[in-house]
Formats: sequence, C-alpha cells, structure tokens
Amino acid sequence: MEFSFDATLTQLRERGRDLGRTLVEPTVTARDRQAAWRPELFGALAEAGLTGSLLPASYGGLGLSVLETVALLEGFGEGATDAGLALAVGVHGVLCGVPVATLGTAEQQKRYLAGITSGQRLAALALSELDGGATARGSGLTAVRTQDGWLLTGTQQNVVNGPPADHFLLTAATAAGRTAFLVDRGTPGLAVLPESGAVALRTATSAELVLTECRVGPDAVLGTPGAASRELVPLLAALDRTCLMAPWLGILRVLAGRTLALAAEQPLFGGPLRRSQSVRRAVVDVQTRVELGATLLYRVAWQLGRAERAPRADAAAAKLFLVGAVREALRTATEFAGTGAGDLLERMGRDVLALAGSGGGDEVLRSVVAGALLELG
Amino acid sequence: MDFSVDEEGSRLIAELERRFAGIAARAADADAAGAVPEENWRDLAESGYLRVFHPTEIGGLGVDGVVQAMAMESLARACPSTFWSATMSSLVCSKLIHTYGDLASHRGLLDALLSGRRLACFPVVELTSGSDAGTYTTTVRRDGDGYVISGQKARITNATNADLGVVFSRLDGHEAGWCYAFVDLRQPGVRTYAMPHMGLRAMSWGGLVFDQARVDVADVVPIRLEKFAEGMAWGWLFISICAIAIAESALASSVEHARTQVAFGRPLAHMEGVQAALAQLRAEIDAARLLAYRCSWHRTEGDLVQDLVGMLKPYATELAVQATQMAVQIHGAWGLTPPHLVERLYRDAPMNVIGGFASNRLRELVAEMLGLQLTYRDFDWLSPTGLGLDTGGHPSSSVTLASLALAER
Repeated sequence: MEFSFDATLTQLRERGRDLGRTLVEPTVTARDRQAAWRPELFGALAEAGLTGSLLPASYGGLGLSVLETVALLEGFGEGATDAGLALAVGVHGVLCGVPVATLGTAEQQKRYLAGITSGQRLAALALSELDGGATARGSGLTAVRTQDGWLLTGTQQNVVNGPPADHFLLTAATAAGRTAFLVDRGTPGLAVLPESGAVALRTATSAELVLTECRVGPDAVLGTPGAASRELVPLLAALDRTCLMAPWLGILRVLAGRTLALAAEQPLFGGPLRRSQSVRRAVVDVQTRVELGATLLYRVAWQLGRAERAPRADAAAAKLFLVGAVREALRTATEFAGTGAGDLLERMGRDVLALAGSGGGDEVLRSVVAGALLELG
Repeated sequence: MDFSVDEEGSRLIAELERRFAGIAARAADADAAGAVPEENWRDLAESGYLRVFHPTEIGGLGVDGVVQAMAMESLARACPSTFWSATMSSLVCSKLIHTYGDLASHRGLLDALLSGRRLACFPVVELTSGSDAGTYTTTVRRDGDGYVISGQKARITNATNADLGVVFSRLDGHEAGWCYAFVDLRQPGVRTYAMPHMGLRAMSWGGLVFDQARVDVADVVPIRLEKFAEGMAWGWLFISICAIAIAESALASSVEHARTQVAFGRPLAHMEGVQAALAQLRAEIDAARLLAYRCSWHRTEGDLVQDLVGMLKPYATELAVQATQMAVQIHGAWGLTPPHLVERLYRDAPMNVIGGFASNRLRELVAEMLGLQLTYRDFDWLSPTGLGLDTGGHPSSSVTLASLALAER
C-alpha cells in the first residue's frame, strides 16, 4: 500500500478547488435562494473539463481514472460549496456519460459523448435509478417491444437536470427484466414537467417525466435488453458512491474548517467557545471523521480503477460513513453557530437531507453492506 | 495512492495467522488462568512477530507500515492479552530503545527483546497519577559512577513478568528534566506486584517499586517532556489496532450467530435491525482500519503523524466498546456467559479506551494540534452571569416573584 497523495492528485484537487471558488461559489447563495439554473455556468464548468473527467479523450474528455476524478470533484465541492450544482455535474458527466461510454454501442458513443463532454447537450437521470428503483415513487416505467422498436409508458420523478435536458437515461420494466434506454428530448409522447418548490439542492433542477406511448427505435436501448439490473445499476451505484460523494468530502472539509473557526470565534462566558472541553472534543471528532471518510472514499475509488470487481459493500460502507460524517459535522457547526448560522450552514442543513436520501438512504446502503456480510440478499 | 498488498506481505501475514492458531485456541484458558501460556511466547518468537516492527539493520524484518499493522491485527484477533504483552515489548519498548538509545550500548537489549529471550515493560503512570506527568515523582539520581532510580509505577503492562523496564522518570539535576531509564528489573532494588484487572486478564498488569535500583550511565537517556508523546504514539497505534481487532472479532461472531440462530421462523440475519447494526459496524471498522494502515504507513516512512494517530485512538477504541455491546445485543445472554468469546471481548475492550492515554485526554492533545489551545482554569465562569444562583430567597434578591405580582396590581 502507498498512502501518499501524489502530485497528480494534488494538482487535480487544486484545479477543482479553483474552479469551484472562482466560477461557482460567488453566486451559490443567490442561485440557492432563487432556485436558479444558469446554463452558462454549467457550460463554463464543462469547458473547464469537469463534465468529461471520466470520458475518453477521443470525445473531448480528460480520460481520468475514478481516483483522479474523485480528487478533482472533491476539490470542486470544497471550492464551490454547491451540492446542487455538483449533483448536476455528476449526473450529467458521470452517471449518464460513463454508462454510454462503457455500455453504449459505437454508434451511441458517437452520438452522445461529444455533446456530454462539451456540455452542449445536457443529460438527465432519475435519482431512483441509483438504487435500482428501491425508492421509486409512482407507477414507474414499462416498455413493450413493437415491430420497429419499443413503446414506453409511465412516469418518473426526481429526474435531475430534467427541465433543460436533451437526453434522458432511464430504465423501464420489460418482459425480460429492466431495460435501459436513452431517450432524446422531443421524442413524441415524452413530456418533461419541471418540479418546483424543492427545499434542498435548489441549485440543481429536476423534472417529472411522463411517457405516454412514447415510441423509440431499437437503437435507444443501452446495453443488453432486460439486463439493466445487472449491467447498469451496479455501475451507477458504484459511481454514485465514489464520484458523487467526492464533492461531499470537499464540503465536509469546509464544514470541519467552519467548526474549528466557530470554536475560536464564538463567545461563551467571556471567552471563546473553545475554552469548553466538550467543544474541543467535538471539533476533534468532526476532524477525525474527515480523515476516516477521506481514506474510505479514496480506497473505493482506487478499487473501481482495477481490473478486479469492486466490492459493493466497500463502496456502500464508504457512502454510509460519509453521509453520517457530513450530518455530524453539520450538526456540530450549527450548534456552535447558535442563532447566526449563516448562508453556508443554512444551505447545507437542507442539502444534507437530500444527500441522505439520494441513491437510497441509510436503509438501502445498510442492506447492501449487510447483504454482502451475511451472504444474503 | 495504492491500496494493494504485495505478495511478500500477504505471505508473511498468512504465515503469522497460521502460527497464531494455537494462541487463539489457548486464549479462553489464558484469560481464565490470568497468564499468557509459555507456548505463546515460543510461538511468538518462532513466528518472527517480535521482529516485524524493525528495520533489518537491527534484526527486524524490514516490512512496510501496512504489513506491520496487519501483523498486529492478526495477533490481536488471536488473543488481545498476548498481543498487548508482546507488542508493548517488541514495538513500544524496542522503538524507544532504538530511537533514544545508541546501538553501541543497546544492541544487546534489542537482540534480547526481538528474539523473545527477554520481555520489556514501559512504566509511565504512578499509583496516584493519571496522564498529567506533573504529578509523577519517580526520580533517577546520580549515585557514584552510575544512577539509581526510586519511586513507584502502577497499572503497568508486563509489570510482573518483564525483565527490562523502559521507565519514564524525572532526571534529577539535568536540564531536560526527564529521562527514559532502561532498568534491569531482575535486581534487589526492584519489587513488583500484580493488580487485578477487568479485561486483558492474561496480560500481566501491576506495579513496580524502585528502591535505589541501579541504572548504568549509558542506560539513562535524557528527554524533554514535549518529546514524550512521540514515543507514546507507538502505543496509541498498537492499542488502536487491538481495538480494531476486538471490534472485528465481535462483528465476526455476531455475523456467525445471526446466520445460525433461528428466531421467529428464520435466522436472525433476516432481521433488518440486526442487519443495520452489522452494516454500521462494518463501515466504521473499515474506516478505522484504513486510517490505522495510513498512520502506520506514514510512521514507518518517517512522518510522525501525531495528529492522525491521536484521532485514530479515540475513534477505534470507543468503537470497540460499542462493537462488543452490539455483539452482546445480538448474542443475547450467550454473550454474557463465560467462556463465550463475546463475553471476553466485552471485558477486553475498555482497557484500550483508557490505556496509554484516555481517549478524552488524547482528544485534548489533538485539539491543541489543531490550534485550540488548552486553558484549564478554576470553575468560576457562572458567577458573573448570575446563572450560579437559585431563583428567589438568596441574599442579593429582596424581590420575590410574589411581591412582583403584587406590585403589578
């Protein structure tokens, strides 16, 4: 083993941090208040390489490993402190881009990847796809084979990037099992209904999809028909637990830093809060979970880059741990801040609730870990 | 960054695990008897475990920090008592001798400890003291052409079976103020006694009384108090790994029980509540173990990483206590019935929280490293606020709630 954070990783993290700090952070409070989606901001991030980090250079991507992408996105999360926009970037470039790059035909790759890396075409995905539909609400989608393709029907909620998206990655129940499809905007029978009034992750945008006798050709199928649960879902789950958790590790570092600063700044009994032993211990515990969580996350990111299979329990455990660490850090910082929580803590207080539920909350993650441990499932 | 284990390391760990099978089989009897069996010392010496932590120049195996951590965990899985006893000597005491002594005078001591011919202890705390070194009174003084040591150390691992003490002591008349004294314990000026203890019962634990015991000039190494934590950190690391092993053993036993114990028509493993506890523990043990590997790797690379080790110990050791409590929940009364493994682990876990610096004390050290200075003061901060007073009746208040109510009318 080798635990040094080498120069490449350090540079990538620094690059992500700079991007976040200069392009994103200055406007995050305003965009959160207004629930605003700014296409030009997303475009600037794409131009800087953020959306194509895992995608091949032949399509304009950076061709980075998962480990390197995690470093880049961790930095981005730390600099930007914008969990909503980080989710939008992750859903687009990682959760939609990587399945096309790994499961797609040459034709599909040609058709979609360049637009995804450049950010000129936006890709969308429902959050319930990350847990294989475990938390899907409503009827869900079904697909029936027709003479010249497929007929898709049903609804899907919480489709991240939905309102402005050009492409939708979705799965539908078919006679042979779940099948993954790439459906383009403008396909007759596809209605995109923007969801509004979100409490959390307001800098991302989401929609409900309503498919009414939506006809797609056979070339819309991603991967093997009927094999989405085997091919797509494990891939999405692994990417969610690594690349989409990376910005949250960055945010966790910010929260830990805030906790430390508040302990020195906030007054208590005529001195700084840090005079209290309980406060000092709480600061140490938050910092400890940063170190524990970072090592876990980088280990699972490294596992995904190997030829061997990446153990699902390790990745689920890493996310389970990190979500808990973020919740604890936020609770500590907010308690220290008292009545003056400020924009960052206030926004994070809402966003963390959405994190805990995305990709299946603790319930789903614990089942995955326990299933592997007990050889059940 | 690379998380793979090389073939040589894997082979060594597999060989150690094979060697430790006997130690594991004897662990319950050792606990009941309150002593590490002779066969364990033989197995430890033959396995090479005592040489794992050291470079080849002094007869060590020269393996990296991660393999060292893995070796520790395999022995701690087999028997936490044996692990504490052996690692205190072969890691902590040997590192202190190697770091602060000089090879010309102390190569013989190291050879004896690494071969298992002799065993060492690390006496620090005293009968009426805890982690505040300011309260220690044991002192090394000049006497003729050498030194003598007097005082009493208590609650010390290997107190009654060690041949050598690496004693943390005041050093009279020296600007450093403190020293490590390498004291031969087999001499008339040294008396030892055993102390009863709740867990790690096979490990020797007790006091050492020094009454003008002789120490050679070469065996007194002056040290400043600020440097003291550097040596202690080796202890924090091995204790953390002991805790990780205890937690892992508790988890493994719980998984086994959940898979085989049938209740309400199916094995306990199908209960979501049981799964949730096991999954949470799996995540937390993974986190602690990886941080332990990271600490051990950096330390062997020459970085002190005091802050990381200081964070690891409170987390890992308190985790082990929670893990054994959870294991008792899952096992039910079996887990509280000797000689069940879980019952022994339940007793073995707490010493790790307290030994070598209580976890809350260590949090204070880490807080200081993070820039939160310690400011201990007398408890006087309530009086200026008025919150130290009960309502009504006290001398400073002539107005009672009842009279206020009257006045308002």
